Amino acid sequence: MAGLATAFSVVSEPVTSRVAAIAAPYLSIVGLTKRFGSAVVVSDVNLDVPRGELLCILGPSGCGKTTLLRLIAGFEAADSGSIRQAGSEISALPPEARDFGIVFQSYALFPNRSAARNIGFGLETLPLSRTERAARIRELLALVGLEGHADKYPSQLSGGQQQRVALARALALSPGLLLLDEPLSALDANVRASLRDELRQVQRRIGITSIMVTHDQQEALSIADRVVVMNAGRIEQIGTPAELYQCPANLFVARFLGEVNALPVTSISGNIVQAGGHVFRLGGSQAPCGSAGYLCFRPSAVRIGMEAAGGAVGTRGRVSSVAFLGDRLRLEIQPEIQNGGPLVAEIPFPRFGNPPGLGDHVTVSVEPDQLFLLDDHG
Amino acid sequence: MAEISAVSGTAARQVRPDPTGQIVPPVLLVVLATATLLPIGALLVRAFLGKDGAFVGLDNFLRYGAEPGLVIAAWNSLSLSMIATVIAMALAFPFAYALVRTAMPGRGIFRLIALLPLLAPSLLPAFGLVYLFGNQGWLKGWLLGESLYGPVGIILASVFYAFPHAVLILSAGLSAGDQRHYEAARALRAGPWRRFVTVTLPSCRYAAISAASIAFILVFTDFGIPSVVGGSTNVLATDIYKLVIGRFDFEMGAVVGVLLLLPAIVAYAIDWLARKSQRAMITGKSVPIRAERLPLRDLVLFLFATLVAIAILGIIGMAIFGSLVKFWPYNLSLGLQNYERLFSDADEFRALGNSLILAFGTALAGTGLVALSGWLIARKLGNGMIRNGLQGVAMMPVAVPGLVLGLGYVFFFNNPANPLHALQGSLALIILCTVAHFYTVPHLMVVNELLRLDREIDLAAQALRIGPAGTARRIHGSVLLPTLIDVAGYFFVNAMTTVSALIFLFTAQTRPASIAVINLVEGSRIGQASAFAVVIMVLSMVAACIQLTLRHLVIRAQGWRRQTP
Repeated sequence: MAGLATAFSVVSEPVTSRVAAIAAPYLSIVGLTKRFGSAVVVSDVNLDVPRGELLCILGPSGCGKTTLLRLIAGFEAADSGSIRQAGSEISALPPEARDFGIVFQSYALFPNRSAARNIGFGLETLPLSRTERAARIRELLALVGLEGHADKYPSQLSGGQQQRVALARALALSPGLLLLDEPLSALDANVRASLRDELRQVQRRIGITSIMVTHDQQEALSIADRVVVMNAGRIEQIGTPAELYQCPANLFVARFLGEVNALPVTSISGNIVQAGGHVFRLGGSQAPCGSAGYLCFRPSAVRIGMEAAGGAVGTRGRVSSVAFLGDRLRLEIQPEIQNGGPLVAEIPFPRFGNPPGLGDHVTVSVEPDQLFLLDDHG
Repeated sequence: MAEISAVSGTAARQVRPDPTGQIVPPVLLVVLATATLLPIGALLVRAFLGKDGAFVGLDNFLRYGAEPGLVIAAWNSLSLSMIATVIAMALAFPFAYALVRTAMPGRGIFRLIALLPLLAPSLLPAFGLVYLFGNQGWLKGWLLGESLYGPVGIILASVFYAFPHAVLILSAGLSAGDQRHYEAARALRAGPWRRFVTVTLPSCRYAAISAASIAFILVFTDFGIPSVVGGSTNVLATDIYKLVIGRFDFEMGAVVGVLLLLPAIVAYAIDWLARKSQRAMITGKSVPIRAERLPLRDLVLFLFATLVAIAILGIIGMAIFGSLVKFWPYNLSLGLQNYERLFSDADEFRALGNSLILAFGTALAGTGLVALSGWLIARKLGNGMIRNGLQGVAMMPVAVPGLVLGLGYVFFFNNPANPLHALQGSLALIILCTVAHFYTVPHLMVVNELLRLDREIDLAAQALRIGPAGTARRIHGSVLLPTLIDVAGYFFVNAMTTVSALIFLFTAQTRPASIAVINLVEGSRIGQASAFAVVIMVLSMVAACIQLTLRHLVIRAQGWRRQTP
């Protein structure tokens, strides 16, 4: 009984442990490893999540991000490593003994229950009166903005509405941790963006520690407090969205967060770098490290003009493809040097004059402080 | 908002563990193994033992080979089954094609008529044939001097018996195509005939293999038809009965059992492979087939379907007519005397009661067991090895002829050393055997229905601290209810009409109606036997009607199944 009652009340802990809980991360993962047969799906993952944070786990499909989430939930058993939640070790507990709510990509709503009865599902085993339960369900429906849809069945709700019901259902037992497994991937682009913001608002309002798995870097960058980039079962980098975008740890992270021109470095002397047949001058901040294999820059860092711009060393090229992106143009430029690979540039659509067209000869330059040197892997 | 923002203090909560996944699968595995695996094992072992129970190697098989009459029976079984299969397929394919791929009128009615024989014992068409083509039949001349009793009768009745099964499988296969293939063929300027040959035929070849395998097995292992119209033509199915019941030669019976089992297993293996390939051809994104309107083709197929329907109705109608006639063929005035005798004779009346108990018991026990085993497998509960064992045991009966299963039951439960020996001769054992005999199809119905439910639904429930049993009660049960009604109907109708497995198990007290029909035939009382078969068919029809009505009402009451927003 005592265990069930915790759903609605703040359990008073000894003062010392509460202080410790504030100092220590809410969720702490150490050396977590999971194998399926001979394949290592999650490999020696270490991760701390402070209370109240929204953490996104980002990676391509098959990188182990969903398995990591399922390990935290207890749907899979880890081969080694520990998971501590609110100070206690949970890695040996079955899912029903852990303290989390979960939202799936497929919504996984109970098809034979109305929105209200889906949300109330977990409350049924609690010692609540009918009115208490109904009040709690109303509150949750209001939280996700579905007041008028209490009696509709999942088949009568839109995808976005279904996912809101799933979110309310996951929050019904006031869990300490919210797990979101690609919650927006099944939705249309428009609904996805608005539900993404709503999700973030709800998460902020109730201050629940949350871990969201996604393969969509825009989604991760736009709502996460911090992002974990995973690849082949390993964590490549952890950081705030801005850190990841501006200072990717390696080429994989750089490429996964957005398109990047990566030119193999052939020589470095001082702040002059030869890469991919071009010559670049670095700004002050990029300390070239000896093993740096690639000189990288985002397409948006590229300037197109008739003359080489200021600090950067320019190179001439011919426009080999043009794509119209609304307010911007995406150009592929074939340099006029031997062995030079094509460069990608994204430039604002010019307000005056003609935009560069197919076959035009242009000069390409990059601001020195937009260049960075990266290794193939971190 | 205060409650929502409440932070729980501890990550671990006390929960009552749900032991369903640990306890139920092993118990169910033991029950199902006892009902299927162990009796069949007992039969296989017996084939290699002598009368004294000592191991004799292949002696029994050699003894079998030395009896020319028995070897001929094996040949008869094989050749007649193949001929009947070919004819049944030749009729069923155009019929099924007409049902699902044409705009021919009356498709619903034709479908109902084609499936009608499923509700009757396999003997009923045999009676119809006897009245039409028997020694005193109306259309005897049509056989050009051939006697019905023998190969002709066996083939005719077997075609009739296998036809609805073949139509079911073929029409499912034919309706599972992809409309876009036809649109692509049209865009490439393929005419109707070319579209049929290059798109339709390849897309249903696996269904055709599957249908042929099933038809072959049904005919090869059927006991009812050769016992009525077989005459002096021996087949394996009647031999096994004569050897066991007539000569008490259990070892030789076991040998014939093995001979019945092997081709059945081969045919089911072919069927299994065919179904696997058929499934692989259909993706979730297929666009459903729209029937095309081709007036000439539709007219030809309509005439064909009409002929087939007349034959089916004619044969069933003849059986009904014969059962109502006072004294065939001398006094054709109609009366209910054959039926009256069924209700006045204590033995026959008890047989009817036994059949109803058997059918209800099988429907109840079978539906319960199938719901459990299908649920455990579809929702992946408990230990994987035990689950694989369960699936294996559940899939086995479909490849085991009823006669083989029944004889296995005799060997297994008649053994005084068996603690379940007390069940011998009881109606409970007959129910168990019938449940086991028809287990596979309903088991798969449950598995397939539950597999359509997202696996993550169970995980969501688990995260909300509701275990498998709670989720089954709150979610799975409601989703599965219409399927369980179909399952109960399937068990009921099959228990009413089955003969083969029970022929070795009944006693004077537990004899069911379908066996009573055979006994009446053996006593040359065809009129009464037909009447009894008709009563069985009518009861099956009533059960089928109740099943459909119940299913309709349940689906209508489950508002969540409606898609309208």
